[in-house]
Amino acid sequence: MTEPKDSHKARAILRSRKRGEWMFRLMGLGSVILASTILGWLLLSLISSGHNVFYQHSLDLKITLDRQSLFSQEVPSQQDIRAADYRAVIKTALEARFPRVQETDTKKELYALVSLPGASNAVRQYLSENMQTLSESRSIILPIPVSGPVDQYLKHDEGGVRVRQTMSAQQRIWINALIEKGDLKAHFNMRFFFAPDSPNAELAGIGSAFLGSLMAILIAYLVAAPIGLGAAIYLEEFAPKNRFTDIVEININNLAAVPPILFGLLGLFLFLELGGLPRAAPLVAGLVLALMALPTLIITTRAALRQVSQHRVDSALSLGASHMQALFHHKIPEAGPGILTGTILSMAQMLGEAAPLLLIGMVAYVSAPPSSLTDAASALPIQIFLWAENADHAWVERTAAAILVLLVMMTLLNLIAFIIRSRLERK
Amino acid sequence: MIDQPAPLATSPFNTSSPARLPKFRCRNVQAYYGKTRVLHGIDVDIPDQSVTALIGPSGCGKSTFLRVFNRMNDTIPNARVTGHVEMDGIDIYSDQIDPTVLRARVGMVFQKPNPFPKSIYDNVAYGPRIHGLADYAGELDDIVEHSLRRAALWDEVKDRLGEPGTSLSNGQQQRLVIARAIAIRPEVILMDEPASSLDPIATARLEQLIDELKQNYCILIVTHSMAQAARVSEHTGFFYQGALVEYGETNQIFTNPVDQRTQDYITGRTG
Ligand SMILES: Nc1ncnc2c1ncn2[C@@H]1O[C@H](COP(=O)(O)OP(=O)(O)OP(=O)(O)O)[C@@H](O)[C@H]1O
Ligand SMILES: [Mg+2]
Repeated sequence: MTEPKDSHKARAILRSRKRGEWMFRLMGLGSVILASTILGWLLLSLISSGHNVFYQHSLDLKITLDRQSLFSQEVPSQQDIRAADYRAVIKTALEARFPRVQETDTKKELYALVSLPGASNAVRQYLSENMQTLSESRSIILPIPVSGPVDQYLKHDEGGVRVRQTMSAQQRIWINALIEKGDLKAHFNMRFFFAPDSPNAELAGIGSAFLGSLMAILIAYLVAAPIGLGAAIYLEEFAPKNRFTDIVEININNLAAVPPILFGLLGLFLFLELGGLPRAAPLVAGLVLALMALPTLIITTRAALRQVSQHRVDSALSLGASHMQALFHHKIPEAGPGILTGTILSMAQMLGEAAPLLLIGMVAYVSAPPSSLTDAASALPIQIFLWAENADHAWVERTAAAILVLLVMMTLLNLIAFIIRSRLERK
Repeated sequence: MIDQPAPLATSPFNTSSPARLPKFRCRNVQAYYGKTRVLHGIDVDIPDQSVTALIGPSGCGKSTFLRVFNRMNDTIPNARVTGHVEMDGIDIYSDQIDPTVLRARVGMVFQKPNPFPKSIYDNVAYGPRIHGLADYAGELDDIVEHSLRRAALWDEVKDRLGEPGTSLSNGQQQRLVIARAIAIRPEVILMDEPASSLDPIATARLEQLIDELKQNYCILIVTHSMAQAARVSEHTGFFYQGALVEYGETNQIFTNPVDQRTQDYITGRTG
């Protein structure tokens, strides 16, 4: 007659076990929801403030180019074209577009509709490409970038009271007139992706920072990948197991956890002070990032090597292959995808690294894209850091857009790594 | 059905003598993993051109003992073998012996069939390639074909040599790795539970193959199947807790064992 009692107890245990499981699941689900909410909110806020940057307005303006008033020479050289001032041409063109404007103050308001440096650049570029065909005088229609405030006004026309206040009543009338004529148009903002940094928000782009990042990552890869692979293979396959290799191993693990800024200090000392390399150069940035990537690279490569099934290696050895042959014919090829995945992931991580680059001088405003590995350059995260200092709405938008670009690149790299890994697992 | 093994007769290593000297002589062989001794002084002679089966309960040291003959224990980080092992009268643990050369003479087939992730052809050609066994164009093709024929696999794969070795069935894979081992013209083939992942039909084929191969090779086979040991082997050694408790002709071991522990094991009272 003990059976009812026993089954009662068993039921109680079962119930409490189920409750525990349920609680655990609930907690797990809760943290997943919390994490994805925060992440989603971050992404949403980035997109909502950054998406505006991906299009921009330009004004189709009829510009009269007169060689005699622009240049003193008969045949101006490229140098002359670059040096000449085109602001006057733009101003004249604007006045011709709205001939009734007479007072100096009103004229100033008119000029403020376009980005004068951007417009000058547009004319400069047109001239340097079409000088041969330019006769004495010619009129052309050029799309020229509108000024930052006008761009903002057009983008936030509906809700932005704050933005509207930056436009005078007269300016708003002009803008409406231009829109009605179809001269003010929105288009995809190529400039943002290819232009270098600029003090004018409407002209600033991530082009040169992107190029700087690309150069640095390439250097980091070329330096870190072979060294990391070599070190990992040596430690995993050939190093004797003694106190010295134990210490090396512990140090590698510790180095992977060292704050990035210390790698910047190390790079500053090694490459700038001892090595005498130039500040803010992509070469130095690449070397510092390589230093930083090495510990993780070695750890992931060793893990990939360790995951290779010993059976095939043993088979090769039993057929009389030497240790080296078994290693290079079987172990490394099989670990290849894993090693590649680790490398890509660590390069993606290095792409977002700003702190060590600040220390090697990558903080200054750089306008021109780097033309060599030792030119002063910027990098994407540095560009974001610099832009983020400006509270102005146009800059906030650009910062968000640059962060989005960085995120997309990192996601792409991670995706590649993921595809390689899942290919490997399917085999 | 199976070709005569013409190239094997010309093998520089093949010094099979009519006097039937033992292929291997083991004297006081001990094996350690770290400080743990797992083989306690094995003395045994292994005859050539016959099948010797090693049986015994799990963990008694059969695989470790098998790896003594091709020095695969050398590749296990903390493993150590002491004692004296002669192959054709030559100490295989002397400093003059290069383990990779020894392993070209003593092939091995593992429990799980493990072809390389390469084509069937390249699997078989791997050994001949690293040892430079093919001298003229077409010789490699001959070696591959001959080895596959010896392993009774040729007819099944001759039209698909370019397909990956991993695309074959389990039993075919096991015959492929036997062909791969044969391709380097060994004198000895070590087999560690070669049939444990095969179905009865594939097992029967494998046993038939072993029976054919023993005319030219010295074969050592570890097996958990008493019936298999009785079917394929001439001699049987019974291992128990790292000691070779009993060794003799298979008939005698299975019908009239001397040691009580052997008796208990083959009748299923231990295991
Ligand atoms: N790499 C190793 N490191 C440490 N100990 C090992 C290692 N390999 C085997 N051993 C131990 O050595 C002993 C003999 O192992 P071995 O694999 O030779 O046994 P076995 O007879 O082949 O067993 P099974 O029938 O299960 O394959 C066992 O006690 C095992 O735990
Ligand atoms: Mg075993």
